[in-house]
Amino acid sequence: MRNFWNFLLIGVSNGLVYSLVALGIVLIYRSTRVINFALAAMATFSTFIAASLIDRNVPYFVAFLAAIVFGFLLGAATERFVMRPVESKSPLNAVIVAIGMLIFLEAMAGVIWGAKLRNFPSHFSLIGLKIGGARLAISNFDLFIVTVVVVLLLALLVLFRYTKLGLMMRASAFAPEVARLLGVRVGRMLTLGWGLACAAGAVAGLLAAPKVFLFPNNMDGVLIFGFTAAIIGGLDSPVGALVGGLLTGVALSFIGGYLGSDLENVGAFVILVVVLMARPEGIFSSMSARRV
Amino acid sequence: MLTVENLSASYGPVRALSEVSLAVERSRITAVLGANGAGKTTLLRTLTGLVPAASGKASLDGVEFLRRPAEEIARMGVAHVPEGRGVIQELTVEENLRLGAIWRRDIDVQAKMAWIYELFEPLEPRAGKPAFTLSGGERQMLAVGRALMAEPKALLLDEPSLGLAPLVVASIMSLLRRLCDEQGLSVLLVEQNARSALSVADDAVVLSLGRVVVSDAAGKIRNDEALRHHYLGF
Amino acid sequence: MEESMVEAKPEPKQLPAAKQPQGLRRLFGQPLVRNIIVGVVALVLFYLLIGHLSQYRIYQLSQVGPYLIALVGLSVLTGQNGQISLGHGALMAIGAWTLTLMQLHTKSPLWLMLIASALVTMVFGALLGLVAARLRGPYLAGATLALALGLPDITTRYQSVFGGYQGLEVNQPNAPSFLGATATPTEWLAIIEMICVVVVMILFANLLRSRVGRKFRAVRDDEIATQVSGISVPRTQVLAFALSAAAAGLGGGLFALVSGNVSPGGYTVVLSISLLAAMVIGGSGTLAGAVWGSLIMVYVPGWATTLSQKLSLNQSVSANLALAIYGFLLVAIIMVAPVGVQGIVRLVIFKMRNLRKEPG
Repeated sequence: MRNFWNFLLIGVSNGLVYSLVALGIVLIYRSTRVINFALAAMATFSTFIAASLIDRNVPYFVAFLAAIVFGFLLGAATERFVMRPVESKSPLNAVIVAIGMLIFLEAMAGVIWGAKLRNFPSHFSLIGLKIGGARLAISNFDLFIVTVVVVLLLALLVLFRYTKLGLMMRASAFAPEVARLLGVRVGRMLTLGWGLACAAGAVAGLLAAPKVFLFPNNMDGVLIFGFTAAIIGGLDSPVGALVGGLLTGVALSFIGGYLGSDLENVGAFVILVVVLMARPEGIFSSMSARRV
Repeated sequence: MLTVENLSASYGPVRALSEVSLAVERSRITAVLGANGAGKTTLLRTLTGLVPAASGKASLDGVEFLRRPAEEIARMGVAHVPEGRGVIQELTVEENLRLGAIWRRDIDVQAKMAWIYELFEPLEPRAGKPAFTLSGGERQMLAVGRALMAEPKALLLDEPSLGLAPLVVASIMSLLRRLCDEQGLSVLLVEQNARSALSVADDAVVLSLGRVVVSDAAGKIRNDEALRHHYLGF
Repeated sequence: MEESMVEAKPEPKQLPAAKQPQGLRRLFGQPLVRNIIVGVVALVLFYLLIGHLSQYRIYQLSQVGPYLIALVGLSVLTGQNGQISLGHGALMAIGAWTLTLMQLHTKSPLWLMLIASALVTMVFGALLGLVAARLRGPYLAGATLALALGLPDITTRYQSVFGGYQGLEVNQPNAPSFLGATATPTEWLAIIEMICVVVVMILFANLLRSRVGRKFRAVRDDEIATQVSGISVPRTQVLAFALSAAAAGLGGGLFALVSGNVSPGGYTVVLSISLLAAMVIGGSGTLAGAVWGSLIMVYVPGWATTLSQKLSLNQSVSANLALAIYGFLLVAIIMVAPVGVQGIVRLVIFKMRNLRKEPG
């Protein structure tokens, strides 16, 4: 029984990181219909920035924020200068460009910081918490993950639901042409959306790095699970990204715990097929509603 | 006053508009009539920057605006209500209305919305509902209301009567007339439904294959049986 | 060899040849016959070519074949039928292990093992197609990507059967005596591959010209209209997936032969992603594009490595720099040539024809 709770807790903690990646994918997909595979590289690159700042004795939280800002700028610049010229052509081309960016950025991280595995500080203890003599599988750092993700999601919720900027961003995502006719500068909104998405990716990178270590393609696996989560949730639903991430994290944790960690990847495929057979466009997709 | 001079536009090798000229004074409605494919929708889309113009000029109160980005044209006071109503279905009625005035910082949005709800009574009880739950007529009201939120000087409407019951069309047309007079709008009304458009318009132009073939007072066109038969089919 | 929607109606079949007015010319006029002739000529030229190449060059060239065949399959699926797959690397793996296990446990002849690679993968592809038929664009991309991630792990889970991380060894067939005493297994393998390439290209060129090919494209262009006109969209999609998988499986079987072993490290997500990228860059949906794509997959990373070795001294830096150049090229090619290499080739040919016409 203790195993059960531990697997659940680990699953939630991992799942929240997948949720962040999924959110990054969803924010970009629903505004530009592009699956941003480069998100993994952007997250890793941002994490390397934080690591090299920490190496230079910059305080952890300052480095943390700097990496997020960097992620934002990297995402915004990518949309403006790389994706915009290809977005309009064909979705497949945009995907290939994103893959090219993924390969390029990861390799550049290898050129700049070396391809070797390195530790990334967690600032909080990674040792399991003790409750009544029993050691749990979650640590202070996991609690930090929960806090960061919850704060971030609430901030995004407020932005999208209750601000003019959020309204303009949603309008640009749902109906870019109509939004332009209403005076919304859609191009800027897309750039901003990519920036936000990649900032979320950077946070995911910072939170994942202490556990998966830091190396040029350390986020590839996390990206695929995040993509799985985004699909399960429905690619255009931020709420779906959160739920999908948690579902994916918990399911994989149970599969890994009870059946063996070498089945996690296969598990992701099985989960995806099972969910998609029931709901071909994910659980929270608004697609079906829109067709009305 | 909205002025269009010698406007031409193409879709690839296909010329969709050639040398279209027209002028709409304040507080006047000009109907744009013609068959399917005559270039009516293209005219509006070119004016508001969605289709690139090949040549020509367009200005609002003497300020040239053609070839600017669509969002900047909107911010100059040219409101375009696109065909198929153009409400954003995922957003609520209220969010759609807010969006209408999103770039105006000098407007009391609450007061403006209250005024829209007064004009279009069925919208108010639906304020918090997503727009896809509205009926066709309500969506048209929302689209027009949203366009009015930013206090435009020119209002470009694309087929507002499409798919609506005759009674609803009549009420929308009469409301349009009232708004045009009260707000001093220059209205360009693109319509397939020539009969109802002519009933409310001051002037009318008839497009055929992208060219203006008739341009006259609406009353005259209404009474010219040969012309009606030939171009408008009634 | 590629197709367009505007296609002459297929010739009425099974008319006695004697009744045809101009027997021979008529025969050559048929696309199938023409393709076979082109294929045989290509095969002969290829045989003459490898006589002049070093063993290393031949080895390098023989890496093109497996990719080419897999890309033909992917191109038909994605370009012609509109279904995206980020899992063709996994399908290649199925073909590769099929051949390896047959070689290990049976005494089957080579041709049988290759056909089995294609058929086993085709069955698997049909099952995957049943799933795929319900999914659209990015959802299908995600499902196939998860397959590409998960499938190689099966081989480590069941080590005793599939060989685990180390994988299994594959024996390369010896050259038959009619090629002469000096012919090496490398040369023989290159010839086998070329034969497979020619056969696959002819089969798919013919398929795309047929009713089936038109159905594929109809589904891609407008599913609803196709369904309404009485063609079963899901059935067409499953068929496309199965045929595409067969090509990928054959490619995988050949890949195992060329590599001399199969291991999960050779069939990672990276392979699947590279295949899709090469397919788009070569020219989506065209057979010639698959040729370009496979050449790019084999030669561009090599050039990038040489280039980066010239630029830098450090081993790890130069390896990463090569990858960076490759990534940069992917982005640059799509930006410069959104229709792929084959699109550019066609444009050039078209321009040249026009130039030739103008003076006349």
